[in-house]
Amino acid sequence: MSITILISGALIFIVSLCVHILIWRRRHPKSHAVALLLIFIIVPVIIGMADWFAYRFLSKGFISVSIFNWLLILLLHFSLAAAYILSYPALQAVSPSLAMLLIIKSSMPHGLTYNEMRSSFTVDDLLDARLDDLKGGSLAVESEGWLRLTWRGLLLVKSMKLLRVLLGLPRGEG
Amino acid sequence: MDASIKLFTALILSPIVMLGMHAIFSRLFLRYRPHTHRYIVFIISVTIGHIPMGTAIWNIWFHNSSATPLEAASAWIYALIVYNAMAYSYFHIFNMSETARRIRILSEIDKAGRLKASDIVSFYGVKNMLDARIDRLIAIHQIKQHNGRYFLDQKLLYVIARGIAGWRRFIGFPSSKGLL
Repeated sequence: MSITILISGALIFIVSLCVHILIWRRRHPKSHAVALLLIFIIVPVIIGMADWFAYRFLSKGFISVSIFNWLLILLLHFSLAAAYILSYPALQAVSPSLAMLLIIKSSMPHGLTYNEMRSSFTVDDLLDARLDDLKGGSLAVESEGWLRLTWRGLLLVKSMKLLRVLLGLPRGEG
Repeated sequence: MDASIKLFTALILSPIVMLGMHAIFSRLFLRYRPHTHRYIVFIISVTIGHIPMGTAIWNIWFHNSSATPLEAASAWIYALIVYNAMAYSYFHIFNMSETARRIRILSEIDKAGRLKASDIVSFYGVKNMLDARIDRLIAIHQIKQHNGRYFLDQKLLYVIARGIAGWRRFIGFPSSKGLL
């Protein structure tokens, strides 16, 4: 494999990450998911296709590799992008486990009692915000005070259940 | 078939290999070592998954006698990055099924057909969420309990928490009530 493929794939990811940082530091987009999809997936694919067309038909591509090598370049970029995008919810929402660790560390060397730890979290932090996420992400809808799953929410739940069945595990505790 | 296409195909199929290995090891550990934490089982599965993937890639490049040492090294580094990035992504999906509040809430709504927010709080409130996390953190040795107080144990997740808090600030997220 040409080292160009390795370097190009890594560079595309690094450039996408830099664009993400520049936009987020200026102003957070209304829809984080859509913005991430555009920056990390759609724009790189468009650029890759444009470069390949320029190479193939005009002999003027920037990276100048075959279509199969472009697939390898994009696979490297997408695997890194997927890793970042799937980490993103931990950035966006307060992770109780990680927050707990920071709170406990700040109390060292004395440690924390259960009640001291519990007082740092509210229903709003832990539950209401997640319910808002579910409604905002069209995974659930609320009508007359009742929450129901949308088809997206149902698909997600069924997929998670299928994964647990494949692994021979009971439902996660959350 | 060109070696690049074979490599692409092998790596595209690697999540299936990962899932297969994880399913096998998950069942084996549940049967013979049920107290092994699920994260440890995951790490073992994915680590051992390097063997079949490495074998496949070795065969792809071993038979490609025209590859220079630099090309072969590039292919190995490439495959290592892609496989492990996919493994990391798979970990997040597995962890979502294991610990995510959103998935638990969706699952409860699915089971009941419909729920009010107050219903959810009654069986999945702050105490339930915290208790599950405390148990998990103790089981993976990130915190410990002594004389009714909690202390940090090993620091891996704490370092990750610091990193995430720092990255949050760097990309302009507001501080969340001092938690992160």
